[in-house]
Parts: sequence; C-alpha cells; structure tokens
Amino acid sequence: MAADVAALRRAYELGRLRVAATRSVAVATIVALAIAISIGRTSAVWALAPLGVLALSMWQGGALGRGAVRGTLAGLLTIVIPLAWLRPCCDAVTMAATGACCSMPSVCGVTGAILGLATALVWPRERSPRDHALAGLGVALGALSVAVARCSGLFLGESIGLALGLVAGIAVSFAARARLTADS
Amino acid sequence: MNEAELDALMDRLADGDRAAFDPLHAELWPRALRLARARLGDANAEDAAQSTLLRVFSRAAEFERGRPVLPWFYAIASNEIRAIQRRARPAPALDERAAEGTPEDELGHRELRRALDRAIADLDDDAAEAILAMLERAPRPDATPATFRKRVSRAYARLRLILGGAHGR
Repeated sequence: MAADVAALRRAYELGRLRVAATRSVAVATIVALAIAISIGRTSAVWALAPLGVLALSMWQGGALGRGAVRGTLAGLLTIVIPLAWLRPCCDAVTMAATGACCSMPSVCGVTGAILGLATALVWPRERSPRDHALAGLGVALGALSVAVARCSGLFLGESIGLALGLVAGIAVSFAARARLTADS
Repeated sequence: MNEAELDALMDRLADGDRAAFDPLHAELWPRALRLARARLGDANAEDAAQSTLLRVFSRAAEFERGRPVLPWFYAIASNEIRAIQRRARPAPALDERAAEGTPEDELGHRELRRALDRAIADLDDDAAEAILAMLERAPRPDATPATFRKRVSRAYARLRLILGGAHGR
C-alpha cells in the first residue's frame, strides 16, 4: 500500500485552517476591543471583516498571510486615531441642529493616505517580486478590513476618502518598497 | 537530501508553500515506513507510517521555523507507533510472570508503565519528546539546556495532571 497522499494533503490543509482560525480569532478579538472602546460596542461586529481576511490569508500562508497580519495591525491606527477631532463641526448633532455641516472627506483622504504610507514601516521584506506583491495585497486587505469599522462611523464621503487615501498610500509604499528591493 | 534541505522544506511547508509538500512527503514516507517496520514488523507498518504522516502534516502549520525537523518527526512517529502497539497488544496472560518480585508487584509495574505510555501519548509533541528523552527512549531534542529543562518541567506538570485525572491523586 502506498501512502494516501490525498488524505495527507487534506490533513495539511485542515491543520492550516485550524491554526489560522485560532490565530485570527486572537487578533480579531484585539480589533473588536479597540473598536468597542474607540467607536462603540455595536460597531464591534465589524471585527468580523479582519477575522475573515486574516483566517483566509493565514490559511493561504506565505507573504499574503504575513502582509495581512501587519496590515491589520497597521489598520488599528484608523481605529485609534480620533478622526472626529479632525472634523469638529461635522458631528451628527451639529448637522441635525444647524443643517449645515462642513463635511471634510479630504481630511479623511489625507489621513488615510498618511496611514497608507505608514504601512511602509510594517511592510514584510520579501525576496521575490511575486511575494512582494502578495505581501502588498495582504497589507491592503488587512488594513482595509479594519478601516471599514472606522468608515462605518463616518459619512459616505469621509469613508470613501479614508479608504481611497489608504489604498493610495499603500500603493505608494508598495512601489517605493519594490524599488528599494530592486536597487538592493 | 541532507537534513538542512529537509529543514528548509519543512520551513517552507509551515509557511504555506504547497510546492514543498511532495518532496517532503517523498522524504518522510520512507523514513516513517522504515521506523514502523523496525518496531512493528510488516503487518502494521504502512498503517503506522500513514498515521504518522497524517499527524505530521496536520501539525505542519504549527512547526516552529528554524528548528530541525527530524527530532520533531521522530517524536511524532514514536508516539504513533506506541499508540498502535498499545491497541494491538492483547490483555496480559495470567501466567505472564516476572522473574523478579511478586506477581502483584509485576502487575502494578506493568499497569503503571501502561498508564504512563497512555499519558505520554496525550502530551503535545514537545512535551512527549522531552519526557521520552528523559526516559532515554528517544534522542534528546535539539534545544538549549534551559529550554529543554523548561520543557521537561512543563511536561512533568502536565503528566501529573493527566495521571492525577485518570487515576486519582
């Protein structure tokens, strides 16, 4: 009898899934706590997004998994930074009372871009261009999966600004890191 | 393939590189089979090798990168083979007498030994590896003396818990 290779592969994938699920639950719990404290308890349900992203990317493993973990942790900054301070006249009460609100999606866009650029600091070092791209995808998915929780508490324009800024910042970080890797 | 290449393959598999699966399987299967044949004979060897590799691959994602793969692999293989031996072993015959000690002593020792083997099988790989090394039934794992002492200490604590739970304190 030769080895049942299909069963061994299945065991390997299930083992990876088990480990990925356990680790992603741990990280998602931290994200949920941060969201509950910073945004509100009802918003903690958004931690399901990083949970899903982390579970899948860690199961897949490699550069994608490493990028997703770092992206998620970097994305926590969007939760921790109090964006309301950057738009003092744009809270819901003011808008309801005066009908006029200086909604400033550009501020969120700039914040997102800065956060996206900051992901360069946590970018995993990968050897091949393919792994570098996968790590970039992981960072983007991880950061965005956390940012959706912040966006859920923002107005549409702000949310789009934050998300686009984040993506743009990550893209610039990605290109800069790729160039540095190619030069070295 | 030398051990360093094998370690590198295991690191890649632990990292999620599926391309490392086939070469690693090709290397580990004959080793598992050889060990199982040596300990169990031909009859159960392939089953034992298969269940060893099932356990190895299902725990591959937990493998600590940078560690040598073979001690980890052989600890798992030894556990699996012992489990199979336990399942296959018939109940002790009454006339199985020891040359030394009373029959009661011998029975007691045998029961203790069996309980210990069962408890070791329930331990995680690191702990089982440490205990087996202490009992001189497996090679000492490739860890620093301090790490090894910690593992042994944790393993004894866990063994006490398991044996205490199974047999009362």
